[in-house]
Amino acid sequence: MVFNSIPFVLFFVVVFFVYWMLLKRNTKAQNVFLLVASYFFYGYADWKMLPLLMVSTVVFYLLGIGIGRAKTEKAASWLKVLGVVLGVGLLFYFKYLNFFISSFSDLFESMGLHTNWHTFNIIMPLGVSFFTFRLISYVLDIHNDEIEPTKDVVDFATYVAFFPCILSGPIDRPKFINQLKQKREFNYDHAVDGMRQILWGLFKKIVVADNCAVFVDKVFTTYTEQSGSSLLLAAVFCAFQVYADFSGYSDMAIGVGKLLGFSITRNFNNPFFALNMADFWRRWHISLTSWLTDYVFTPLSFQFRRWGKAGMILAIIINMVLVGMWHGANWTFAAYGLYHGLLFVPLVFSGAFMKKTKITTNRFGLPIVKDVSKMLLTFTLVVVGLIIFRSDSLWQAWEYFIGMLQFGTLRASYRFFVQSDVWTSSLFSILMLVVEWFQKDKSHGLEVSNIKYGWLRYVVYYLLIVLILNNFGEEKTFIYFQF
Amino acid sequence: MKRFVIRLVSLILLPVLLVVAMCEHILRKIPNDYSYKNEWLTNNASSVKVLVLGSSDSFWGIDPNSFSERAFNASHVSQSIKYDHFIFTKFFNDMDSLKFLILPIEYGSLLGFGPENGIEDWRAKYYSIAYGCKYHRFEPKYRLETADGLHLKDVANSVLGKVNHRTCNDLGWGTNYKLERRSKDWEESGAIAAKRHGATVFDTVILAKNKMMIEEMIDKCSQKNVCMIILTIPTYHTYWENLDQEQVDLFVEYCEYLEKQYDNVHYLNMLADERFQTDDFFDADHLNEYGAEKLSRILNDYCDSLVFKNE
Repeated sequence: MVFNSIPFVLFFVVVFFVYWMLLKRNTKAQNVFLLVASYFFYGYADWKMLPLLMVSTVVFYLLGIGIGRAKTEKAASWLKVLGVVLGVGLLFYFKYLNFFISSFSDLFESMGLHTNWHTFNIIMPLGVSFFTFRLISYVLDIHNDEIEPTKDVVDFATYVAFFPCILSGPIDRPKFINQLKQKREFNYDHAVDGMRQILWGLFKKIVVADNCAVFVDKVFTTYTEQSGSSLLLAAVFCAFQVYADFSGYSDMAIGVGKLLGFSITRNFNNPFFALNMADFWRRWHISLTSWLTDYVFTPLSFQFRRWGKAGMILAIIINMVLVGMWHGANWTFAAYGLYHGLLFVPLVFSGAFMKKTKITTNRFGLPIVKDVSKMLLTFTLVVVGLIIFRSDSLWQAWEYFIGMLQFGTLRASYRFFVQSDVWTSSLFSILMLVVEWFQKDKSHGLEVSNIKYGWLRYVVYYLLIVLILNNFGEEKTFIYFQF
Repeated sequence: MKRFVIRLVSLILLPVLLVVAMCEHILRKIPNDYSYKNEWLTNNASSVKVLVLGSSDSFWGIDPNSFSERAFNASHVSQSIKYDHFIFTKFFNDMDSLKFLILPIEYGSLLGFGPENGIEDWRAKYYSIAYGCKYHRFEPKYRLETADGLHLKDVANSVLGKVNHRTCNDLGWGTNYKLERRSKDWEESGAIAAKRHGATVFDTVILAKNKMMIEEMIDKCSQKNVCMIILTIPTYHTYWENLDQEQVDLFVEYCEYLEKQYDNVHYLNMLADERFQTDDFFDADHLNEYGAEKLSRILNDYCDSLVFKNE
């Protein structure tokens, strides 16, 4: 049940009316209802894994209580370690076990050592990377005295399984539980803003990402037959596709949250306007990067501080490899993370790593040439990384790079481009970028409350709706569902 | 809350529904093969003497103009036996003059139940929209033109009277697979097409359903003394050489069984017929206009010979 589907619309209409009309006076009942709706939503996608979600929720709830009640710091630490081991173990078993078995087996085989190891038939639960991070941060935050353990298992379970975020994030922190405890009133402006954000998310997903996907999928599956220019163009569109797909989903999730009276963590902040790679990672998949920054990078850089800049670089590289590996069990993701980690090295030495960047604009509100060139450089580096990310193997990524560098002739066939909707994708991608540029200080692209005339706002809505409906086709799942 | 819902419904949902309904109405008015064939059969079923069913092979491969009797090609691209059966059942009672029913059975026909399960699934909605088929009563995807987008370009062209999706001639033959338009690498497509047409799962339920529908058509034909010609259309060697022999045996043995079992059934297996040469094909599994003419004449002669035999 993806957001851009009829079943979700029907599901959400029911949830919305029951939540606000029948249960509006009772926060507790609202939370119970949200939990039931979230389990239904999750079960609809993957009912076999629902017990796993429930059991892990109960275990971490008890761990939270245990840490809170522990009489000694040592006992609390042991429970925290147990929580981290369980969370990481869950993730490792479902996501990485087969990968490591086959990788080590291949390694030993290549050294002439024969192993009798075999992989297991493991089905990865949907959203496992997202809900395990919520579970782990809960025990860590309690141990670090960031939050009090909640006594209400419903609140905790709703936080873990909250349906707008369970399948693809954003990864909210345990402080979200406070929102569940507060009384929620329907707020017209908040709800309208939520609808706008959903509309913007739908535009990004259905109009931009799904259009780009036609060309990108075609080129990446037949990359050996493609000309250098086609490969280059597909790599650029791949960046737009991944961004529009994932940020579109995040916008919809946040919008749905707003309709239910919640503020969900922002996940993207116009990453294609980043001036360097550090800036990019402060804007891309923010909920994941900030999670890893708080729980991995900060402790590591503290541990390695006596090694100076080398320690800092090591912490960054470990952190970035984890960011990469979080996406999946493939060496391409590790390489993707390593690549990004290495891009931080010059920033650490120049001191630009920690510096906040600010885009300078001219009197027309456009970025100055120097900043445009920085943005283009950052974007190019991101595109290169996404080739590794999108490839099925490191060999494919290598072949793709080699193919892309054969510029000799611009053999891109006009017919092929037209058939693959490249022009449409270009137009919509540029439209998205232009809108996001002028809305860069707003929480999302369609935050148009500043437009004075109501009719003009509706013209914008209708235009977007028509574009969405015109491009609406077969339900296409979101790229980040696989992670 | 009330204000929000009222505004959402009145200013967004209702106008959107109106636009969608308008587009649906306009799109349904655009002529296509399905609407044309349904209309033709509704008006002319009683005069048809030879009816051709089947999928793309017969759509491009059998030209009713080559028949001496009044013939009509009611096949569509990716039409499965399920929809052959549907069209046959819908019009059979009105076909008082029918003498021959040509039913192509190809590699993959018996194990397929499409077009719903493949890349041609968008075609399934036209059986509902044009022919009034009720196989997917509650599935908008198979009932609405707008289920896969508003198709604004078509809507605009339709309003301007500039669009027509019909690709068949007046007697239902697909005319756009011409030799001059054949792609350079058409021979290589044989192996890919053979792989695509092969069943990945041997579904005995689908097999049984397809057999049941074929035998039901034979029984009905038998009651009206209609002769059924089961046909396997010629293909190029790069196609038939790459077929899975087990699946070939499955349909050939079944067709031969039908011929033995029923007096009114005749089977023509032309899968690897040597009369069809390189320039008779559009691609490895479809004939072009020359191949279609050749095949249609062969079929016409065969029909004539059967009439002669019966007389």
